[in-house]
Amino acid sequence: MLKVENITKSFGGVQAIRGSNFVVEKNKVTALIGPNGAGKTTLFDIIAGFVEPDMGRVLLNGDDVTQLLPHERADRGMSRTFQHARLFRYLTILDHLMMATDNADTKLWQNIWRRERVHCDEYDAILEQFGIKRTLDTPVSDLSYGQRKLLQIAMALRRGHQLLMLDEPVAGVNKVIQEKIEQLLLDLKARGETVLLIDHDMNFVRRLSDRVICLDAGMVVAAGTPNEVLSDPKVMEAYLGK
Amino acid sequence: MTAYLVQVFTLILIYIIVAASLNLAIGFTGLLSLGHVALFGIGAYTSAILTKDVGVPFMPAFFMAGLLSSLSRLFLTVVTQKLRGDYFAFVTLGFNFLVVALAQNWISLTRGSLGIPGIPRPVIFGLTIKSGGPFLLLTTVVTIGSLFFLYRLTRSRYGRLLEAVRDDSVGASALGKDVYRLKYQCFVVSAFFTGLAGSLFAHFIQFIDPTSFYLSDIIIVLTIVITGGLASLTGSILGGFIILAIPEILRFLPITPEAVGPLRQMIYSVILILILLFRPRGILGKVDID
Repeated sequence: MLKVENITKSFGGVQAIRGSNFVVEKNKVTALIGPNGAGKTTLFDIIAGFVEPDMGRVLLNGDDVTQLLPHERADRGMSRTFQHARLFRYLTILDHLMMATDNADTKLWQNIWRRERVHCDEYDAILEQFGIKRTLDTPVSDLSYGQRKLLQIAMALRRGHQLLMLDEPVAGVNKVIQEKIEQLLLDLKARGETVLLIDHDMNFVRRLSDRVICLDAGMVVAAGTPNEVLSDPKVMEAYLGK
Repeated sequence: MTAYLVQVFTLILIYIIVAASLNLAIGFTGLLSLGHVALFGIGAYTSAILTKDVGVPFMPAFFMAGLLSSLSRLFLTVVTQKLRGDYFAFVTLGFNFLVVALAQNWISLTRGSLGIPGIPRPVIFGLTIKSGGPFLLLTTVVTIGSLFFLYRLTRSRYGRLLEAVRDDSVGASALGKDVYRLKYQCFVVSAFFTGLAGSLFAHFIQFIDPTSFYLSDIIIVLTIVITGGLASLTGSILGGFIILAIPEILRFLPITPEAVGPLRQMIYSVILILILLFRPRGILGKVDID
């Protein structure tokens, strides 16, 4: 599904990614782990098109998407979330879900002369499914941190996608929401979704992932099943030091 | 007295179109665009030259004014595509100087500092729109039409998407939205209406020269937008009436005519400072000024 080939990226004198290679298999959950500063989010941003690599290629279903802009990659089926939910502070939950549904909102003339009928039941069902106990007209600025994360995942799923990229989906949320998100992701896994996620919670990663890739100092140091990777001495070393 | 009020009201409506257009550009993209007075000038010169020198009827000249203003904004948007914040504001401000310099020096086209006198009154379907009531009626129709279009745009899903792009363009890109295209469209639409307002201004005053579109006019339009509030068309209407009507009181005070202009500028500046200090969202604004 996704192939990352020899990606390199430097910021000034700091080499954030050093020739990383890995694949994300279709219908599998792949976790990208590594200590702080390992380059996980930079790599995520490169894959999604928000950061341009110095070298290397990103292939989606065999197509080179390295030169595509983020919105073009999203249209090709890359749907992502961010570590800190990027929502639009003056808009409501409904606005967000509608925005994630399609690109009809980008058509200037169509939107001026036509009014679209909104099927609120459909959107209410999403809130129900994600356990967001708020009404659709709630401004997102009124949501808790956890609810913002849930909404962001709901939006990422709402978009037509082939690859779901989740950046620390459970970081910073309370236990109840963490369990909710985990259950949602397990359901996605059972449905055969292709997921690439970043997380620091090793138990969470172990329960959810089919494959784990460990990154340290911008390089892939281990890849394999959760048990293989999490017991690899190089991974221990990356987290604990020599 | 009635004639005077009609004149003031007509000018207020013309400025409301410019302010509402500028509010679309600033309030819905979050980019401080300071080139609007130049676009207003481009609209005015286009309409004046086409009707007076080329003999084009008013209606095509009126729409050409909007179109040329839009094309100029498209050019400016291409140039400023990668810029944000202060850099964007500076370049758009510089665009004003460029347009004024062109108006001053392209003498064969604009007559330079002499300006263009005797701009004909609009003729629509054989009817000459005279000053006073008829011109006010024409301006009211154009203002209502422009505001209706902008209202529909800002209240639509497209308008909410523009707000999303303003608040977080990275987040919007991740949802598959082409943020550059949206900004282009927003600026071009905004410039079109500004150009139309420029055309109305030229045919209303019947004389334009480069001083008609100086920096002081940016302050007026910006004060209207900020007083009324960002991302609020109603705010721009209210701001237009407040900002343009209040200084008219000066005419009735016992001060010399020479002092009226500078005093008016001082009032605008004081209002702008007070609003920014004590009510940063303006009267009806929906978003904070970052």
